[in-house]
Amino acid sequence: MDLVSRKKTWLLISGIVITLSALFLFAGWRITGSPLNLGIDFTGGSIVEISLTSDISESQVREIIQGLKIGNVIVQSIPGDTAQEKHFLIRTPVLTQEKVVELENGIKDSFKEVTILRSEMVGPTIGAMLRRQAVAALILALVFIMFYITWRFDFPFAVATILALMHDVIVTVGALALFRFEINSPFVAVILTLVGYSVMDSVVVLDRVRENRKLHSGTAFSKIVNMSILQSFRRSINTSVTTILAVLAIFIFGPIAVRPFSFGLGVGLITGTYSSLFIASMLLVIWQEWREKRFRTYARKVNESRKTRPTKRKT
Amino acid sequence: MRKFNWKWSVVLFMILLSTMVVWTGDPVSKYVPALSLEYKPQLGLDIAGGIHIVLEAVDTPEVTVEEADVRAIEQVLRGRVDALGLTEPNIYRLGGEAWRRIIVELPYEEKAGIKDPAEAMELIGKTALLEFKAEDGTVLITGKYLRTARATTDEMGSPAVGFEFDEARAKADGQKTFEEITSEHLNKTISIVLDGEVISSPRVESVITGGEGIIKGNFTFDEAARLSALLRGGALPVKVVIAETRFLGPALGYDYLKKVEFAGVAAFILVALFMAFNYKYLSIISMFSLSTFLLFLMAILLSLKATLTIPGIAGIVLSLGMAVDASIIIFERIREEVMQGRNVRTAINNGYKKAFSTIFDSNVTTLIGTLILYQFGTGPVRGFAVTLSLGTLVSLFVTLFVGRLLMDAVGIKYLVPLTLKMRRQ
Repeated sequence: MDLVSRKKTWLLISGIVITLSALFLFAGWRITGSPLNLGIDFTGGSIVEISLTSDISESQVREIIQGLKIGNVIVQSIPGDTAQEKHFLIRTPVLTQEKVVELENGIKDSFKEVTILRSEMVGPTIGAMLRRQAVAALILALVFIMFYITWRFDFPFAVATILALMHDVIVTVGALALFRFEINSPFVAVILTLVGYSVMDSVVVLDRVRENRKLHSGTAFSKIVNMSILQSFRRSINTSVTTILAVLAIFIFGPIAVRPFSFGLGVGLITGTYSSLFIASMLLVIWQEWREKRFRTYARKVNESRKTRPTKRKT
Repeated sequence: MRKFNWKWSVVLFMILLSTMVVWTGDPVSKYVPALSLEYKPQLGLDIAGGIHIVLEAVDTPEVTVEEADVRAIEQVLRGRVDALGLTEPNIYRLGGEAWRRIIVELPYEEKAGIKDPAEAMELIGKTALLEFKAEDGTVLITGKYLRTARATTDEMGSPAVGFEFDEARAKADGQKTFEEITSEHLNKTISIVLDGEVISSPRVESVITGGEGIIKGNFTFDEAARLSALLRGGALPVKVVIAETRFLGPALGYDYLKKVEFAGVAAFILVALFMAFNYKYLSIISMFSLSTFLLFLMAILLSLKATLTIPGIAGIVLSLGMAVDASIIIFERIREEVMQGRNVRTAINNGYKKAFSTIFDSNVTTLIGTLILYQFGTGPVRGFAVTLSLGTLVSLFVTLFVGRLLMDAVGIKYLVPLTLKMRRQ
């Protein structure tokens, strides 16, 4: 099976998915004002989860909270643990300390049987710091991994891995944008785990390329890459499947609050497997072909003008 | 039986030790108290319930915050929280960029605990600046010179806060100043102001010499007790805002825990089934490795007294999925070697040797990610980074050392030939 000769197909598939991701982000931005559904960790604001008896409707809760005059409030009801109770999520923009106290006291005074299950408030400065830290962490991780792969393998390998990785990150972010999952600080964990895992997956294939290049030094590079992909195919798929099974278990059986986290990881793992088999290695082949072409042009030039003596310059 | 070398003793010893640490009944300390291995899992606030508050000292036109101020705030907060009688409060300053921030974590407690964030903010976020002001608004004396304050009752029997100014000290004499103030403002009203809010405006009827007095207001007993605790603890030296609060009632947290544990069990079974289906008898080795992996990881986390959070458990489940990766890489290598016609022993040796660099490189990249996550993350995200990075290290050890031992013991003779013969047919 010759996978490498169809490299344009593989890259095209990725191109389409990346374009779709960009479209989802753009659509999200046009429709809701923000490309991603950022939670209070990033935007600041507060969220209160309360439990009430099930005969109380969403609009009743909304009415009471609007009576407190604390600005733009979103009330959402979710099923409770038993049929007799119902949970409500109340989201507000950033409130002052007094307003939060007012909100909670208002809730407690208005309903008889109310329990405050959860209440979170994040001020605007924390959100800004978190955003800054997330970006810094991502850049730092990329740089470190780039150095490590350059040291252990070769610079082109590092570039191919990082490009494949960026592919995975974009696709995952696009999927999160499509499903409008709420993104909070665990999102940083998703992206960084993805960074580690996607590179790990690519390394499995690239390691084979490194080994085969030594074993079959005369063979064309594209053949070596093809051979390496086929040899590590089962391995790549199987290692990813076990991890995806674990993530799937968290997604299905875990608490709903962890769902955006496991969803992001799951998408990241699938695209990571694809990119390590079909993108990282294809990019390597393209790089190599470009180098050979450049070398041929250079050699031809040398042959044509004969005036300069052949150099030993490494290309 | 000469295969029972020192490596086996090391593994068996580790398994025994880990079992004792993880065992909830703690069989050891019952008989040998000196060797107590009683480790209880420390549950994070996102499981056990409780409140997490981030306070930030902010500059005002008059005062610029210095590190000493933040340290003083920490002390004052400690005093206030201790006054509540909570068993395990956690108060600490953040370093680096966030040096102005202080974190207060109060686990949920049935008694004396804080039941909702509003209550906590009342206690934690109050500046508690007590001022006595003259009719024209000038500040006469502040709570800085108080020696103590306690809940008491007024002559009508309603709750009030009794206070007592300090005797002469190095800087100022609270009692004497108070005496002067009361004589100066005899038959005038003085406002007692807390954080800018007038609590009461009594008329000074006589000169107070002992420095004692009471604040009347429409207090309940609880309010009077809490206010006197605040006054005893002293005022915060600079303005403080609450930057973040997270409160979780205990019901929701334990529900989360149950679900995540169930997810963990489900993940283990799914992975086991997948391995059994794909690698037949060889999967016994990976399942044994995986079980010891979980055992060791739990034992390490418990003995490090790591706090278990929901993202932390998710990290364990994820590293469970990744721990099998190394086994798969090795099994596939052995399979290839056998296909190339090597005998079982050589195939296993080569398989491990060739798989090593792949396993090593791929795990290092995961570790780079988790270490950076630890460095940058806060709270729950850190928990995830800790479990995932420890999980990666433990899985390396378990697959390359424990798995290898088992492979040499039973793999060469039974498992590899049995599995691969079945494949060839």
